[in-house]
Amino acid sequence: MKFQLKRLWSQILIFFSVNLGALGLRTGFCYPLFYCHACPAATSACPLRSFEKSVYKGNFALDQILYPILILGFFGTLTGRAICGWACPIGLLQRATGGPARKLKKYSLVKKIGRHRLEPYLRYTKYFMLIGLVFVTSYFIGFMFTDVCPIGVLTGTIPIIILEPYKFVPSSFFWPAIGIFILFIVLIFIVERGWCRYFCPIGAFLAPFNKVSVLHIDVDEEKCVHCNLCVIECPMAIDVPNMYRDSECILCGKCINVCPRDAISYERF
Amino acid sequence: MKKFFAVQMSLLILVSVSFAGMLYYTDIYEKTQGGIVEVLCLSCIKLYPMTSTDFTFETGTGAPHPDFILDSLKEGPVFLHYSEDACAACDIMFPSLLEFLKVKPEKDKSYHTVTTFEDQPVPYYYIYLDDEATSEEWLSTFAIYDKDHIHGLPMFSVVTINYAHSGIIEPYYTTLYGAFKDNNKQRIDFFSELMEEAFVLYNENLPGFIK
Repeated sequence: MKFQLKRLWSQILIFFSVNLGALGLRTGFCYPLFYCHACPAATSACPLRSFEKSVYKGNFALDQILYPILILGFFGTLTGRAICGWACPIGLLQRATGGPARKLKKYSLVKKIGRHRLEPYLRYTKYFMLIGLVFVTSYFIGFMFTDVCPIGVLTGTIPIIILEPYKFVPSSFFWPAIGIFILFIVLIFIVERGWCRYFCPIGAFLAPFNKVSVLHIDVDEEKCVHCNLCVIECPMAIDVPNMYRDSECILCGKCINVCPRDAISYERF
Repeated sequence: MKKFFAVQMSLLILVSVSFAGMLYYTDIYEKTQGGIVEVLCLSCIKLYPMTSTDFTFETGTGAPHPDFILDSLKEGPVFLHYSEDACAACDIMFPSLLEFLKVKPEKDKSYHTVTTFEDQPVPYYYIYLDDEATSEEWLSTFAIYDKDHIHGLPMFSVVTINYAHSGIIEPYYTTLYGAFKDNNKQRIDFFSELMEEAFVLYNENLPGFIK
């Protein structure tokens, strides 16, 4: 439990550190997580915006594409998707909505959705979001993802409307984006870590790094009795006893806490 | 196992060295800071700044009007047009401006000319923030004419002159932001009304300003 408290503290501290723009600190780095630079308090840039700008309407700016790749690559190589579990403010939000989502699991409809045979394939949506909506549409059509991004609504639009209510009017993308934002809220309340599982493009970028990251979670097959407590506890619904460097794992450590035989642990290298 | 460790370490070193090299040898840090973090991304917030045409004497930063603007004001009301790369709203407004002022700037190069509006001279400045050749003096006007402290693009400023409370004729300007109106014609009509107002003020106050 103490361990999960540490994770909570890490998430809270990072939440404040990504909002140091409120104190005037605005850097030229990209976040290695999902947060919008349009937030009035943002400290750094969203890597997805940098990706979009790098290929906007047929252009190709190597430096702008490489910069977020290297930042995400550095953290990805070190910790894999631990950023999602330990640092991302949207992860923190989903941690808060995880309770209600778990309670809803007892309803048969939600259970059915969770166990649907297409559910594992739905997880590939996030890769489509990254390649299709961030790169391809930006290259051929123009900005698409940032125009409807629900995280932009949550961290940019809503705070700006609250802080400066008479300064702005809705653009043509406002209402579609609000619609998507409502779906996002519904999703995270009915599916634990629903955004991370299915739609997060940053998660999609970091996921392959789990295969090579220095830090990862390992299961000792000799100790494991397949009680499946870890599977029940896992917010990403991973088959933990049979996983090895699973690209969905956010290294939250909940499985480690719940394992009665200490068969699961963090490993380096 | 050893092979895997070598792969991990190589990847880590490659990424770290490349990142440090990028920071040291390129201007990507400044580019990201100035082009993404400090400029308000209108498509990210799905909002456009409210377009108010109210003129004011007070500059966005409180700094005085730059000398090149004061010089240009001797010819006519000044039109400032700000843009940057990968800006969807700038792309929407760009053709309207070209048609309205009959100017032909290259989209990614800062540019200056004296054009006309209803046969009267209008000094036009196209200030492309990502053009490295743009002078600091021109770039500084982006904050100076940011009337509503939006710091978003595209931005259009019309600078004319008016009689101030101080008793002297001073530059008097308004600034518009983002993409507005539904089509070219509406935008041109909108800018025309604004320029007409600017010219009325200009023509009334010009003798006092030149003197």
